[in-house]
Parts: sequence; C-alpha cells; structure tokens
Amino acid sequence: MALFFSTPKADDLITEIKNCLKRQDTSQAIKLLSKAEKKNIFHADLFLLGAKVHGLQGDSLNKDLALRRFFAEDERDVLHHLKAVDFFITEKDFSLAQILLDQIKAQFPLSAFPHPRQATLHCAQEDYESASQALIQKQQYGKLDDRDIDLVHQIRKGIAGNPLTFTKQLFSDKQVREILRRYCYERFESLGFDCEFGFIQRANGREPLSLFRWGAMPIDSMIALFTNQFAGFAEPQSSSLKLLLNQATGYAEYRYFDSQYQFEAHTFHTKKNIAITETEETLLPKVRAHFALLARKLREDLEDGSKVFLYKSEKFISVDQCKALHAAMQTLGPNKLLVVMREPKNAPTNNTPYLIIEPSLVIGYVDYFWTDEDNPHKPNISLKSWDNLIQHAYHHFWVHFPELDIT
Amino acid sequence: MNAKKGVLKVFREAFANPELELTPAMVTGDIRGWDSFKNVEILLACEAEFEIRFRSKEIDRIRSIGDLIDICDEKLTAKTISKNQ
Repeated sequence: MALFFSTPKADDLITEIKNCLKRQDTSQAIKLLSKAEKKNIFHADLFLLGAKVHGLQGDSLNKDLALRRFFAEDERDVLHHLKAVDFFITEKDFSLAQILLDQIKAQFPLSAFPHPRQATLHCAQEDYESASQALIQKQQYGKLDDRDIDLVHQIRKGIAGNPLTFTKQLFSDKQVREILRRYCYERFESLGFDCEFGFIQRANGREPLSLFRWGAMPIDSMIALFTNQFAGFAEPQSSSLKLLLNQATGYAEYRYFDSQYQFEAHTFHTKKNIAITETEETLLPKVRAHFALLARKLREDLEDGSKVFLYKSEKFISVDQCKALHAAMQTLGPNKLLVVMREPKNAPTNNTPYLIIEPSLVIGYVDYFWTDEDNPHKPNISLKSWDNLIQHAYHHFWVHFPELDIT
Repeated sequence: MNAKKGVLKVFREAFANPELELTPAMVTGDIRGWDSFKNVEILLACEAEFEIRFRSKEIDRIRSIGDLIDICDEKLTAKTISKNQ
C-alpha cells in the first residue's frame, strides 16, 4: 500500500479544524466542515473530525453519519476502521471507542489487529488485567511485535508488581520476556570506548542512534566535552576527514576527527561508495552535520537524565577517574553512569558483578571483552556475562531511580 | 506542508530513487542501503525540509516510517498553532 496523499486543501482544513477543537470552538469547526462539503473536499480524517465535532454538539444523527462515511472510505481495511478507534481513544471517548471496536471485531473475526487496540483501550481505562487478556488473545492469531512493546510496558507499570491471572500468564510468555529485555537495553546509552555494547544492544533488539555508537574519545576529553557543555564540538575549524584502512572491510574509509576533543569515528564512506561528484571537501560538511546532530541528541539525553550511560574501558581506570566522568556528566543533568571493566583476574566466582560507588555511579565487570586475546568466545561477545551485568545494573538503577521506568 | 509528501520527498532524494514508494510499516533495512547512518541523514533532511528540530526523545520514538510521519505531523501542527497565536 502506498502512502495516501491528501490534497493540500484538505490538509489545511484538517489542521484548522484541529486548532478549532483545541480552542473548543465547535461552531467554527462546523463552518469549516460545511466549507469542505461545499468545495467537494472529502478526506477520511475530515469525517472523523466531523464525528467528534457533532458529538460535542450533541448531534448524534450527524455524528453517526460522519462515522458511516468514514468507514465507507475503505470498508475492507481493518486498519482503516481501527483508525476511528484510535481517534476516540485519543479523544478519551472510551465508550464510543468500545462500541466501534466491538463492531470491528464482529466484522473482521479472524483479524489479530483489533486485540492490541482493545488492550490500548483497557490500558487507557487502567484495566490492566483485561489489557493482558487482549494481548493473549492477539497471540492466538499471531505474534506480538514491536507495536505491542509500549502496551506490555504500560501493563507492567500499571500492575505495580501485583499481577493477576491474565497478567501472570502474559508475563510468563517467552516473547514477552524478550520484549522486556529489549526495554531494559533501551534504557542504556553507550559512551564508548568502542562499539561492543552497541552490538549487544542490537542483539537485544535495539539499534542505537548515538554519538558513541561508532565513535570514541579519551576519557579526559569526554570529561572536558561535558564540562564545556559540548562547546566547540564538531565545529568546522576542528573537523577533518582522513582516509584510513578499515580492517574489517579491507576498504579505505573516511574517518571523522574532531581535533579539539580527540574524537574519532567511522563514517563508512569509502572512495568506492561515495558519488563520483563527491570530494573530501563536499563530504566533510555532511559528516560534520551528522555528528553535530548526534552530539545535540546526547546533550539533550544528558540534560534529561532519563537514561543510564555506559562507559566501557579496556584499560583499568581508577575510581577517581570514574568519579570525575560522573561529576562532569552531573554538570549537565541528574545522570546515572555504569563504568564497565574486565573482571579482575582470580576474582571469586558468583560474586556481584558490580561495585556501587554511589547510587548513580556503578562500576561493573564482565569476564571478557570481545577483543581480549584470551576471550574464548572470539570473535563473538561474552553475551551471558554482559547480560548478567546489565540486568543487575538495571535493577540497581531502577530501585534507586524509579523515574527511569518511563515508557 | 504535508508530512507524508515531505517524508516521501526526503526518502526519494536520500536513496536517489524518484520512483520509491513508502508504507507506514517500513523500518530500517527495508530499503537497500537503509541503515542507522542513513537514518541520521534522513532526520537532518526532514529537519531542513519542514524547518523543524527533532528532540532526542522524539528520535528514540521512531521505529517505522509511520512513526516518522506522525512526529513530523505533530511538529508541523504545533508550528502552525504557535504561528497563529
């Protein structure tokens, strides 16, 4: 199915009517709807807005008529029908949403799509047991997918540790446990030193978009970057590209460098894959814009404080250095830091894989890094050890900072 | 400005394919050459196309083309409202 494009006139009218509704000006909204009718502008969203406006005015006849016209736009598409349910859930008209949903279930008895909407509707009414039942029903028709992640988390948060029959059944499901694992990994953001943790996140269903996913800088420079509030990073005067051999691909790749903070990153641009019209001079501004956006994103995350930042160090770094990095991060926001190092040799087995320096600063240990000479999993990652650490660390931070648990 | 049309324009330019069609359910990897690096290029192009600025949390919410269109749409509506006030 290609995207459905509405006419610019319909778009403008939809925006204007939405604005009227925000101002609670239903009479102006009615005038705009009539104007659309007169000009023969028909669009599914206009019918839904019409149903809403007529409903607000207590005009049930025209409300039903608008809904009928909405459904007639694409009678055979269940997703089109469900748009009406979404609309009325958003508008908090739960009884109408339930009536429409029951009609849709009767019309499309073999479709899995109505069940997550049913769960959404129950969650909106804080009935998490029924929401769990709806997701279990969906599994009878097909697997849960990415679109259901937020629902699973809403339910988990909503039950507040007191699951009933269906919730227990839902959370004992393997697929749901995978979704929860992915959610845990989404709460972490890598600060380097390399891309090992990015690959672990990828293995757990999260593809990170972050400055240090493919880039690295020395810890002292990172402390300066945060303390300086990112001033001067990715500026034209400090940015350059160098053609270097990428050991993994065997191709010469343009690497990005920021000289002020000794930042180095992959660009994956090679002489072979860039356009023939592209030169180092034309490529650099684009690459610089790329890293500037990622730096802006990281800065916002640090100011927001709703993620756990993870710094992996192959070399031993002292507690004082960890504290210095943590303190630099605190200049931007209320941040949580997990520093990951290799487990000291001869460490007792079954020990706790981390050391709490303070509630928001933890040093964690894994048995091997992927590049370690003695890594028995080489070239793979010691996923079990990493997962053990991440699960423990997530539990620690979640207990101390429940606000991390935001879906 | 129409979010769907704008996003389609951005994708057609990013992948140098004027015939490219999109569906709301498409995700990273569904088009040859569409990876996390391309995603940054697409976000920058959307910012330029719509004269908007994505927040980090908005970027984290984007899992599919549909999500990107929804966020652009929300930001365009918010821009129109603030312009009208």
